[in-house]
Amino acid sequence: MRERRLGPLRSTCYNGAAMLPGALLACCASSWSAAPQEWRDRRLVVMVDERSFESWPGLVELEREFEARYPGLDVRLTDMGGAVGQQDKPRFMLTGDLQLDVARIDVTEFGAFLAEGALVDLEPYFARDASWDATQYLAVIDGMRDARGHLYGLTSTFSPYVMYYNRDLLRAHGLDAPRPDWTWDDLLAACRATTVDLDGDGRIDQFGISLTQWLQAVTPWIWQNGGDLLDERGERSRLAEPEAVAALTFVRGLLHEERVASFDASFDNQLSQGLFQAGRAAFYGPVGYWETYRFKYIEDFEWDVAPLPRGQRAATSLAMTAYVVPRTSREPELAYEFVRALAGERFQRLLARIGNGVPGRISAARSVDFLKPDVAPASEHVFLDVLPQARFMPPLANWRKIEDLCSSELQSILLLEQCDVAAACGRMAARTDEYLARERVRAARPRLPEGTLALALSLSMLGALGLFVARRGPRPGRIARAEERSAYAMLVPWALGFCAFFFGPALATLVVSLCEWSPLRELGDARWLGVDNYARLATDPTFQRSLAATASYAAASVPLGLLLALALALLLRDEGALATGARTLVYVPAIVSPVIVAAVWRFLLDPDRGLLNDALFRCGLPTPAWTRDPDWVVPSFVLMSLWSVGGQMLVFVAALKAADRDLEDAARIDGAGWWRRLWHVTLPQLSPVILFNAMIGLLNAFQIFAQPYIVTQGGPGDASRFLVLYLYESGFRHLDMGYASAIAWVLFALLAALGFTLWRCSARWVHQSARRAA
Amino acid sequence: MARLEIDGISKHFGASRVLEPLSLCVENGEFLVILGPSGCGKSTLLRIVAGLIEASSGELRLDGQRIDDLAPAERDVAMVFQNYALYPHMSVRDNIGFPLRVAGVSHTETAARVAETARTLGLDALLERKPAALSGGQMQRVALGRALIRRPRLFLFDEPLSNLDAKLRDELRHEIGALHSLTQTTTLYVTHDQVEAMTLGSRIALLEGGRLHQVGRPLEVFSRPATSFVAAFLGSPPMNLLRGEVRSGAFELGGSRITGAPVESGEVVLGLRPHEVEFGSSGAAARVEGVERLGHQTLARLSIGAQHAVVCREDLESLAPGQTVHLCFAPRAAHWFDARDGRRL
Repeated sequence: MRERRLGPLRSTCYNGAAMLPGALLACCASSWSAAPQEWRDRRLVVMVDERSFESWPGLVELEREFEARYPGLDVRLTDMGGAVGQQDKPRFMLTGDLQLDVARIDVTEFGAFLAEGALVDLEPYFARDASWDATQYLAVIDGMRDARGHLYGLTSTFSPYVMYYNRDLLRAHGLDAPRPDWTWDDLLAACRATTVDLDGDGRIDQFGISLTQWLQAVTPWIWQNGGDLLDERGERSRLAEPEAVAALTFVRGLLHEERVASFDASFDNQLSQGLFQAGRAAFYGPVGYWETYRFKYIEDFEWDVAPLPRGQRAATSLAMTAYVVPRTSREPELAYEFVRALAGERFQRLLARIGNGVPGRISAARSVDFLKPDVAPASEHVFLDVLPQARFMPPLANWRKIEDLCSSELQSILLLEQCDVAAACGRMAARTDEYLARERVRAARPRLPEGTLALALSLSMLGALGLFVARRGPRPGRIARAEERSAYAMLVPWALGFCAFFFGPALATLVVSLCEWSPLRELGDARWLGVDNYARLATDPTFQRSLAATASYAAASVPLGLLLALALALLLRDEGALATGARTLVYVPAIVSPVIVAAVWRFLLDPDRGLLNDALFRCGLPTPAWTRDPDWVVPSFVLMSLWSVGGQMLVFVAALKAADRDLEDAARIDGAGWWRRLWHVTLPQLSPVILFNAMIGLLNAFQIFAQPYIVTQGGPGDASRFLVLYLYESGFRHLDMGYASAIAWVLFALLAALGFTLWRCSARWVHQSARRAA
Repeated sequence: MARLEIDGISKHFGASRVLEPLSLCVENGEFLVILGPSGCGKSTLLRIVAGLIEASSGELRLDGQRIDDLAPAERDVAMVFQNYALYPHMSVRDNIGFPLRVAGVSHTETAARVAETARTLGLDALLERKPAALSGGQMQRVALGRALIRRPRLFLFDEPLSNLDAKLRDELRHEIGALHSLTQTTTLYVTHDQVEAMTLGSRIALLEGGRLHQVGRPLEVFSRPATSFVAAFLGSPPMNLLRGEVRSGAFELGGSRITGAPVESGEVVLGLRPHEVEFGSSGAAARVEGVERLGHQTLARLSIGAQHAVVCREDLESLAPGQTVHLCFAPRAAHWFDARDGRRL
């Protein structure tokens, strides 16, 4: 099952370890001894995402204690970023070989980090640490062990998936709280009883269950039904087997056939007010402990947690985060010490008190700090009780990719009104099997001979230089040669920058696109694949869907953007305070970060609580599911793009102001009305600018990234997995930089071809002579 | 053909007055040239007539019908612009035919009239070209063609020859004159070039600072300028304007007393055209500051006290800088203007 191998560890890890006295390690967890060496100008970079929560003061306390213990040492606490893509930041730091001494990673990342040798093996440190005792931690810690049983990290917090329920709502419908051994049938019956159209408007306002829909949340249903995601060796998908199909059919049935479940519990919707919090869902789940942090503010009703209802057997999935020492640590000894402190009694109890998750340390997990007898949920012990039935997601190196491969089909199964579950499961299984088989073949490929990349780059540079020399004209005269030398001398700084930061890296990506390479490894560790990555693109349905989504987005957003920008420019071209003010208002969104724009639109387009649907509903118009509906998600992004046409509008306004007004006057005298003047006079004069805006718009449209990254993360299904998002996911999420580079080059070729075609076609409608004639 | 009446038309942009109330009549078939320096308001007046700018006050009538409240297209006027204003994306054929196309004239008739207009203007061979492939003269001919093809009641020309070189300007000036003779369409022509004004205009209206100085036939305006501005603006080299005092009916200049002043006393301006001044043994003394020999004639730049004058004659070959000469002229060559307001005395 576990295909783990040890990657190369930096020798510095061990050099430092050898230097530090064993006595120091022996007492580091309980009481730190004075450092016997100079710590001045040394730094410990700690990146844990506790900053957002009340644990920050605890972290600062640890920081100060460390700095007091080691005078001169600078402990830097850094943030992992927001809720979206927070796992990316440690990866970026590892990729960039930046100092990162302590990080908190999700257990689902562990396989990938381990396979790339990105983590420091902590066993040698434990061996020298007399205070280390693994039995102080719950068995979940084993999720951070490699195939040899070596530990690479210590549990921060974990959480099995459970079911939250509204005790008051159940009571109001004459139902009891779920028993520990309740079943799917019990759940269905309770959901049927509690699903109600409260105001009689034909729309259900109160649901039986607010059903979570991401893979880790859906997997327990499959396990409970006797199915599994992969076989025991992790080489074949089991999703097409009847147990899995039946489990997903049951879950889908809650949504579509029984209509007792709401759709609002997708992961991104956790950020907004959920149905359960609003008291309009009897159950919420399967979901982890982290929700207690949000729900502690609920005062209107009594709620609690229960084990998941059992099918053929009891099972649940397990989420966990752990503190690790990354390969790029410059201070592994201190980092180990800090990890021990983070996983120590005091900090674990703090995490338990504030409700970050179930602490990995047994004493903290069984303490009143976690169990909190006076605070909801009353049954906190459930999170510990279900542990024997809890499992992690498969700890594979490429789990993220498999998860993504399955997620799009999974969303289709759950969200689409019409879906053949067995066929969709078959597709998931086939794609997973194909992917796993390919990965096995790729892993067997030989590594590139040392220096191949450097040689390829050098030859490419020389080739480019040779081409330049060969294409030079006849030898110029003496004065011209002198001028040429001066020109080259002045061009050299720019040319060096161009080669170092653009041409060179671009060529490198071309070579990488012919290889298998993870950004967590040295570039020299790449495996030669030839054109495999490109061939894979031709048969990759995700890429094809991504291309189709991007093309349809560009096909709609570019012309609509041009039309809107032009209309606004014609409307606001005049001087005067009103037009100037309106121009400013229209332009402002164009200078706002796409991330902000996306965040704003995420709430505007929320199908349930968004302003747009609220307005549509009040007008009696249909309310699309926008970013949740595969048919509406691309139009949603088109709508979003139209909000930022201010830049294009300004270019049009500038062109209109520079246009020859005599032409328009001549047309007015000739008898041309508004439309004819626009069509025959204004637009031809603007045609070069229209071409410019179309070209820039096309480039931007094909490179849309921030908005889908923030709003949908590519979903539902692959409906908004635009090319650059897929490229990013391939490179930094699936750590397949070769494939990402191939996508980048295909995108480049595509844009070059589109740009060239547009430019060639422009000869028919762009009138470059407009200005010259005038 | 039509009669255009400009009645009390004025224009101001905020506090800036571009045109003082101005009245003018362009008779049926007449070719009236509005002449003036840059910024005098002549193009503004033309654009008001065309309907491109709204007048601040006054009325416009064409054949007695008020047109100042009509849209440009409804005024039945055609205009030729200084920068040609050709539609750059259209061929010569389409440019010329555009007014008919928007007027809904049939393709057959449009084609016939385009061919006829092109033949008249010598554009037959250029019909498929785009404006960018034409010379300046050809472009202006196309602009003329676009104006001609509509057969309007009134032609408006806004400095149509300004962008052309001297040779082309002469050629086209001649062609415009010939076209007017052919069509006899009432024409309002704006220029700052006195040669165009003198050669083309049936009458000339001189404008300066938004104010109309004189309207009259070219020779009349030249020979009897109504103001010192008109006197100085027309003629090349321009008329010498010598400021001085009249005492007891005699104008004192360069140590001599010139009789014939129309006033007994006071400050006046004596206007003398450079061609009408001779050198004699007596008269106002002047010092030769420079001599410019142009071939067929010579220009002598003179200083008379603190004032300067130019004499232009064919018989000045022996003249040299530094010499002292005495100016004499026939009494009929003298033009007298009021020194205060420039009006002819």
